[in-house]
Amino acid sequence: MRVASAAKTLARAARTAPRARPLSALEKDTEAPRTMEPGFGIDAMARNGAPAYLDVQATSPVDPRVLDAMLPYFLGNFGNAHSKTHAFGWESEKAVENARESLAKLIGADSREVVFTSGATESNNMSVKGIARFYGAKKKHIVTTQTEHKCVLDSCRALEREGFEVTYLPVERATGMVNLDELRSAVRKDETCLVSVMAVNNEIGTLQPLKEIGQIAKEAKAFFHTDAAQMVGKLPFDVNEIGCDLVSISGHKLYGPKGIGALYVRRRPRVRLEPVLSGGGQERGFRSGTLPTALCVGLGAAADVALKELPNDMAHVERLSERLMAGIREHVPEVVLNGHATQRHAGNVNLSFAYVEGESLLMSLKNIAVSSGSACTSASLEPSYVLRAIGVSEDLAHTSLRFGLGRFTTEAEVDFAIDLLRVHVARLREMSPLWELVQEGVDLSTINWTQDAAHHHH
Amino acid sequence: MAARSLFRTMLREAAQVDQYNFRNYAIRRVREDFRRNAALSGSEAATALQEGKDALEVLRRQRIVGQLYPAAQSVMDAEASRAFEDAAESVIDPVGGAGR
Repeated sequence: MRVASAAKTLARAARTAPRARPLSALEKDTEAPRTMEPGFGIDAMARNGAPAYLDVQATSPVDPRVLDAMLPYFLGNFGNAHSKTHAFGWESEKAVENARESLAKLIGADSREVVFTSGATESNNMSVKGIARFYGAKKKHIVTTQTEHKCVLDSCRALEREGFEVTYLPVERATGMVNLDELRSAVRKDETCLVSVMAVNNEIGTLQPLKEIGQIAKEAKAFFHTDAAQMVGKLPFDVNEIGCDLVSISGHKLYGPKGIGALYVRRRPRVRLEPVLSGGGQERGFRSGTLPTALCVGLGAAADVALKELPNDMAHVERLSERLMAGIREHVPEVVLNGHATQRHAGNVNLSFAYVEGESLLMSLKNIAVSSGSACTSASLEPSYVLRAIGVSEDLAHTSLRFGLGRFTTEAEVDFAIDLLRVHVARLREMSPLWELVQEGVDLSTINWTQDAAHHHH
Repeated sequence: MAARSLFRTMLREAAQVDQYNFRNYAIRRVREDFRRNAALSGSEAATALQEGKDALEVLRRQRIVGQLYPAAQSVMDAEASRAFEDAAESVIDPVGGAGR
């Protein structure tokens, strides 16, 4: 065994290689001189300017066509869409209804099935809590998956405290797909009120078999809700083809403004909800509160543009995605794509860079805006629960980066990212004792890392 | 010809957009649309032309809004001007320059 030599190499490396410190520590002692070795200084390698934005899963820039449609409603057209007694109100109401029409058209729905909300988080809360509380007298069971967005999981937790039973389905290793047989055995006829499965995962981009899931839910007489925030406007989406009863949509994921989203609620067969927000009874009682006219108009314009640009956007994003993957394959060895290889949204590329410390990599990639997972959890150093759920090992989960490619991403930005990765992954591996071992041909999984076997603890 | 002059005006407008990503998108889409619509004739061509004129108005307004609220320059634009300077210098001093 090569344990002794491995341990020696490690100790030597620990003495000589600069240790990556947490970001906060670095920020605190900006006065102190940097002690990084010559050639390792990342500041000298960074270029000036705002980073290239490769994080469209977190949020997308507002399309100029969307802002153009919105601006009049921040100026002269300021009326309350619910005022029935004067032209200010009528004009705003007309604008809101046009926007509703546009969004309905994008997802193949009737405009009366679209409810405006503050975003996908609210839509998800409304669906999960609303269905459960309305039908909960007879049906007290919910099925969802372990890789859902936090707002679905947290809504389910809240319902558990109200006496509901929730099944959190595991997903398939590596791909992150829902296993349809497991789903079939998890749903209980006349007991399950809701099946909630997200359309495209926000971290790994896996696209779920929505039609099949809808069929299984239907057979169990359960409603099917899908969080389609990462799919609507980016891939073709039709509520009737999929057979879903509730769909959550987010404005700022499809080049619209933040603070607006929508919930599709099927009319035939009728889906009823206990509202989360009570009040003046706007949005047919589903969601009280004055509609933000300008934001509704923005979401409508974003839907119009998305419908018109869908073929072009899809071709562009696929082209960029292939370019990124090809470039990394050529220039950066030992990289793993997380999530499904083909059943995915091409604009969401989640990669693990083996033998590199994730936070150090993120810090050295100052010139591109990427994230190590979802924005919601990016403040914590914990590896993502989604990556854990698909069986990504702890060390690879720590080195994962999500690259988001969209309508406004350019080929030059992708090439720039590849170039930065080539340089910095090589540089960080150069400092990594693990990489050195791998280069020597050591299989890391065979190493017993504790020097004294008698002292190992659990 | 109306289409040709609209194409030139739109490209010129697109090139003046401040923000790197919006500028490159506008240039790309103007080129793609005019290439795709080049073969159109009759009422289809007239519709495409009208759509182009409307798009030009949006582009012009948003180009101005973008210039009123300039954002930090993208690293990509900084890169481009650097590459341009490098190229310019190598033209002036083809040997490479002792100072560099």
